Amino acid sequence: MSAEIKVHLDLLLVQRKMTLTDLSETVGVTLANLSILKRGKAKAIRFTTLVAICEALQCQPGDLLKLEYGVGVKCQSKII
Amino acid sequence: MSIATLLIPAAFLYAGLVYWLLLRFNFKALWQDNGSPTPTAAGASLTGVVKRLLDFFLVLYLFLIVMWLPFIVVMALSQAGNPGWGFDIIAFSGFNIDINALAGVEFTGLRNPEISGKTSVNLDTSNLFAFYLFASSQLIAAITAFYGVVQLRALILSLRKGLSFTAENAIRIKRIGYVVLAWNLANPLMQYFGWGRVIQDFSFTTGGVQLYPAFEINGGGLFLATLLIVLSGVLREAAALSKEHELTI
Repeated sequence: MSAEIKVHLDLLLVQRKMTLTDLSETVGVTLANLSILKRGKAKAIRFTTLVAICEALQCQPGDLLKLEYGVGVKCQSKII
Repeated sequence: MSIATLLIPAAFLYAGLVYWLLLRFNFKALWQDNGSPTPTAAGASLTGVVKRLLDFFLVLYLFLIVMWLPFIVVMALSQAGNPGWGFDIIAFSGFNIDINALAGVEFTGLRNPEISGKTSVNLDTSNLFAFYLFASSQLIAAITAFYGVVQLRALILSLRKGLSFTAENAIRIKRIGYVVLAWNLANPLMQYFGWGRVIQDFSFTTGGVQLYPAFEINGGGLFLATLLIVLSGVLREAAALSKEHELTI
């Protein structure tokens, strides 16, 4: 059984009543990159980006990222 | 039945076949520019010059490949109708000239009166095997060069778009490397066995001049091929790192 990191950015945005564009302006990360992160296509996330997103959403890294187990699913994201 | 009644339909049939092949292998897509260079692409003007040069060679080699068969047919017809038929070819041969054995020739400045070596020689011959070997080798060279130019042109177009480290470019460089390797391995064999057979058909009344089959490996070409194949591996790793970097938020 392999595991993968799931990004719950969409859920947090709904809870905070924010759009991806608002987050992009607050954090200073392009909309395209945030979209990659939201869709779970990102290979890695920088600590600085993680801190900025957590500050903007007022959450912990654990709220944004969850380790989920699944059969035959490759780990797509890692933290550097 | 005259030759023209055969040749004219055959020419149309061949033109149709060439047209079908160009469509089948999507030559139009191969030819198109794929967009203008991006402002961030390094050396856009230089790649533009190289692209235009490669465009010229792409058309030239395609023309040579397409015209090869009609050329062979015309030569075969002229050979059949002309008893004094002959053709200039370039063959690879070893040679040995023993000046002592040549009547009426004296020398100064040489300790040993022999001149020998390996070189390309121009021959005017009516030997059909030599002609068809020369024509076939030219066709293979043109196809090889055409394939190399197609790959190199695609690489240049990719660089013009600012895409340096991509898996496709790594594959292209590897293909060019394999083509250079195959050519540098096959060419010496063709020189020795093919031209060797042609050379053996020539004879001289004096023992002072000798032509013999020669074998010459192009070390520089093999080194270049190895370098390109290794470089493609490095580029593949760079492409993987570049992709990972792009997907790092």
